Amino acid sequence: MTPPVQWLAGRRALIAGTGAAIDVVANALQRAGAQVIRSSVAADVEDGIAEEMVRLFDAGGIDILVHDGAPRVARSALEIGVDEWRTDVSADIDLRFLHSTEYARRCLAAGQGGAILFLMPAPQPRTGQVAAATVTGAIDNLVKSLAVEWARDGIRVNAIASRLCETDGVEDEAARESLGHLAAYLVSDYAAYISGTVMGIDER
Amino acid sequence: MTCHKSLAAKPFDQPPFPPDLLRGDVALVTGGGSGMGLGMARAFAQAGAAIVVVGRSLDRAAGGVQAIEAIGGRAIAVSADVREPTAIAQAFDQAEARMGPVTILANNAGGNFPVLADAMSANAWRAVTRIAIDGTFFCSAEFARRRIAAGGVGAIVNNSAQYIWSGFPGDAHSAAAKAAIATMTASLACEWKAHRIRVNCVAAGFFPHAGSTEGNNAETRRRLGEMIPLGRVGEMQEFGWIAAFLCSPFAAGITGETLTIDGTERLRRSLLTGAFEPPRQRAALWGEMP
Repeated sequence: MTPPVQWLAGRRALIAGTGAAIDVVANALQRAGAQVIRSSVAADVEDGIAEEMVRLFDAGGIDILVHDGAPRVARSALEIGVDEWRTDVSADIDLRFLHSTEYARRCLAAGQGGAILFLMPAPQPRTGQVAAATVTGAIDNLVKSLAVEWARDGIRVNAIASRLCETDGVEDEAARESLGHLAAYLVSDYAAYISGTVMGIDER
Repeated sequence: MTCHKSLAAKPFDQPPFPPDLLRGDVALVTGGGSGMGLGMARAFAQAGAAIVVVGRSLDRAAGGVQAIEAIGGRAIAVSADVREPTAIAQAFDQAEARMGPVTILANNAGGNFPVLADAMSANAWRAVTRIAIDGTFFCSAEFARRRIAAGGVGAIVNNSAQYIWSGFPGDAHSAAAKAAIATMTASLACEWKAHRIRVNCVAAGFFPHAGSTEGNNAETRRRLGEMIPLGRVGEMQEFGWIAAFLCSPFAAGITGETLTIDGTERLRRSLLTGAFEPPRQRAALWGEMP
C-alpha cells in the first residue's frame, strides 16, 4: 500500500487522447491532488484543439498535459489498409503533435512552464503491431526534440512506453498502480530535472 | 493562477515522501559515504529506512553516517571492496547482525577519470570496470541470495549515467561499465521477478557534489548549468528521491527499467556544429569548462 501524497496539489491537468492507460493515469493525478479536465476534443479529429486550449487557458490555465494518442487496432503489415494506416499512425502522431504544440504556445503566451506526458506502446515490436511500433519510434524522438526545444521555457516533455498503454495490456494490478504513481511523479515539480525521457514499467 | 514556470529543484526539506514510507527497510548503499551514494542514502533515510554505508575507506563511510545522523537518520558504516565477493558477504553479515535484514540495495560504488583508450593501462580499465560491473553484480547476487532465502521481496537501484546512450571520448572504461550496469539491470530483473526482487537503474546527468571538482562552488555550478538545456545542474536530492521512488511501494510494479534524469543534457546537439577536435589534440580531454 502507498500513502496518500499531494505531489500535484493545486495543479490543473488536461487529459487528451484515448487508450488503455488514460483512466489509470487520470485517476492517479487526481489522487495526487490535481484537478483533472478531460479534453472535449474527440480522440480522432484535429478540429477544436486550439479553441479548447485557448478556452482552458482563459479559464485558469493548464499545468499538465497528458496524451494517450488515438485509438489503434492490431493488424499485420500486409492486412492494414490505407485508411487504417492513416487512423492508427498518422492520426496518433498528428494529434499528439498538434495538442502539445498548442499547449506549448499557450504556455509561452502566458509566460508559464508546463509538463507534457505521452503514454505510448512498449518499444518491443510484436507481430500484428506494426502501427504501434511505428508510433513508438516517432513519439520517442518527438519527446526528445520537444524537450530540448522547450527546455529553457520551463516546459518538460516525457513519455511512458508500456504494454499497459496498449489495448490488450495485461492485467497486472501492481504494474497498473505504479503506472499511475510514475505518471504523477513525472509531471510533478519533484521531477523538475527529468525531461526528454521515455520510461517503461516492467516491459520484459 | 497556480501555473508554474520555475524548474528549480524542490528543497531537501520538502521531500515527496512521508517520513515512514520506508520504515522497517534497511538500505545498503555502496560508496554511500559521499557524492551520489550519500545522496541516495540521505533520501532513503529521510523516508525512514535504516542505512548501511559501505565504503572501501571506513573513514569516508563514517562521514556518510554522520551526514545521515545529522538529518535524524539511523546508519552504520561498514568497510568492503565491492570487487571481492567474500568481502561483500562479510559486509552483509556485519550489516545484518547490527541492523537486521537488508531489504534495499543501492549499487553506487564507482570511479571515473579521463584517459584516451589507446593510452589507458589495463589497470585503469580494470579499476573502473571491475568496481562498476563486478561490484554491481557481486553485491546484487549476495543481496538476492539472502532475500530469496528469507522468502523474497526486495529492491535494487543501480547508479548508471546519461552517457551510456552515447559513450564519449576519454571515457571508454566508464561508458562501457555504466552501460553494462543498465543491461545487467534488465537481466537481473527477469531472473528475480519470481522472488519479487525488483531491479531498476537511474541514468544520471550532472549532479555536482563536495567530491567533484569545485562541486560546491556556486559560480562553477552556474556555469555548468548553462551548458545544459534545462539551464542548471541537478540537485542531489532530486537524484536521491527518484532512487527512493524506485525502491518504494510507489514503484511496486516497476522492474528492469532505466530512468534518465539529466535535464536533457544528452540530447544537446545541433545538426551543424563547430569543427570536430580530435580527442588526442584536446587540451582538456572531456572538454573545456563553459
